[in-house]
Amino acid sequence: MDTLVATVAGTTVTRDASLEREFEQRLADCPTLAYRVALGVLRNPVEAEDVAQDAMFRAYRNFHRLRDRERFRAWLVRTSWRLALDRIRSAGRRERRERAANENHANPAVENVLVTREFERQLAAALDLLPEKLRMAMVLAAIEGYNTREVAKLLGVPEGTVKSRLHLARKHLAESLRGTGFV
Amino acid sequence: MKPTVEPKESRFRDSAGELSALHDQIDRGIESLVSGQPSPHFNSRLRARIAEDTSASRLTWRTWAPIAGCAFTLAALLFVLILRAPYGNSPLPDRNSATIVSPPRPAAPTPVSSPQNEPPRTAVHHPTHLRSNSHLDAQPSQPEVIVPPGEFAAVMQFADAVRSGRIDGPQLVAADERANAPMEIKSMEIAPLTPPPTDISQDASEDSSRP
Repeated sequence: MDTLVATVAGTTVTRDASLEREFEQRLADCPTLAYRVALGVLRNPVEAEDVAQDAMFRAYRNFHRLRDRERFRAWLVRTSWRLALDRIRSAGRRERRERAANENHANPAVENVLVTREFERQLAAALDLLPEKLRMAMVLAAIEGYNTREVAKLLGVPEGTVKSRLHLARKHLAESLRGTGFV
Repeated sequence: MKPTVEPKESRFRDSAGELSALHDQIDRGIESLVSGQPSPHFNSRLRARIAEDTSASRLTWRTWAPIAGCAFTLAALLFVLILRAPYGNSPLPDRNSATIVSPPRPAAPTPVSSPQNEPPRTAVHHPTHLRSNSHLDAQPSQPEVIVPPGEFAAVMQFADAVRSGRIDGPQLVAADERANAPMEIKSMEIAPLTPPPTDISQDASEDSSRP
């Protein structure tokens, strides 16, 4: 068997070299996905990065079962989402997260003039109220480069289901924003 | 009616346009919420964490391996000691059962005190005797039988009586053999049946004298 021998902290580590190589490939393109999924839930870059780290670390441990690329990405999305939700549920974090989100999104990178800080705050609150399936579809669709087909692959559901979820999610969000009087 | 339809249509167009614009606004807003990249140190942090975990798991294994080895050796040693321990040093016998073997025959016959007692087929040794080293000398043909406690007490009493001489063992054994011996049935002599001879001439004279 093709093995790799490396020295880590004075001890010799031997692992399947092909597994290592494949994981390095995933490490090149998947952290952004994990990070953005976590950011969609947490809206705090620091915590989102921690969650992405945890998710990638778990992926490394279970990589022998996740060698298929599509399967790996779907697993990573689900794990990141779950870890982010767990983090959100832990006491005392929510307030810090909202405060940090307010500070974070004051950057001038937002191109559209209409999307103000207040709108984002209201939108984030409305997003939190969505059912989990709709919210997940909405966040994944908003991640750059993912169309409905790719989102369907990541979620393991038909493309029509994703379209339906997106439509419902937009409708709910619009109603919530109207209810707040912002729109 | 016509003047009212136009404003409705135009209002509908306006609201549809508004809705579409709102949806676009929502999409852009969410895109901006999830836009971002992990820090440049993300991969290096992850690699360091993986390396730390790998070395920690190996360290754990190295820590526990000698302890596990010692425990295993100790257990094996105990097992061997228990196996090699003399049988007589084992704890008290089980109260609920006892073992009996075929009786040793007494050397000399003693007078019988009560020959009408139930003829025994086996004699009982106390279990402590059986667990001593002497039982190893017993003949392999003697089977060990487990008996209930009440029955065992009765057999013990009987064995004491045999040992003390109140019961003559050989005589009992002889009686037992006699009782178990196949019964001999002697053939009976059956004499052949011989009917008495009938006198025909006398019968004829009696018939002629009749009127």
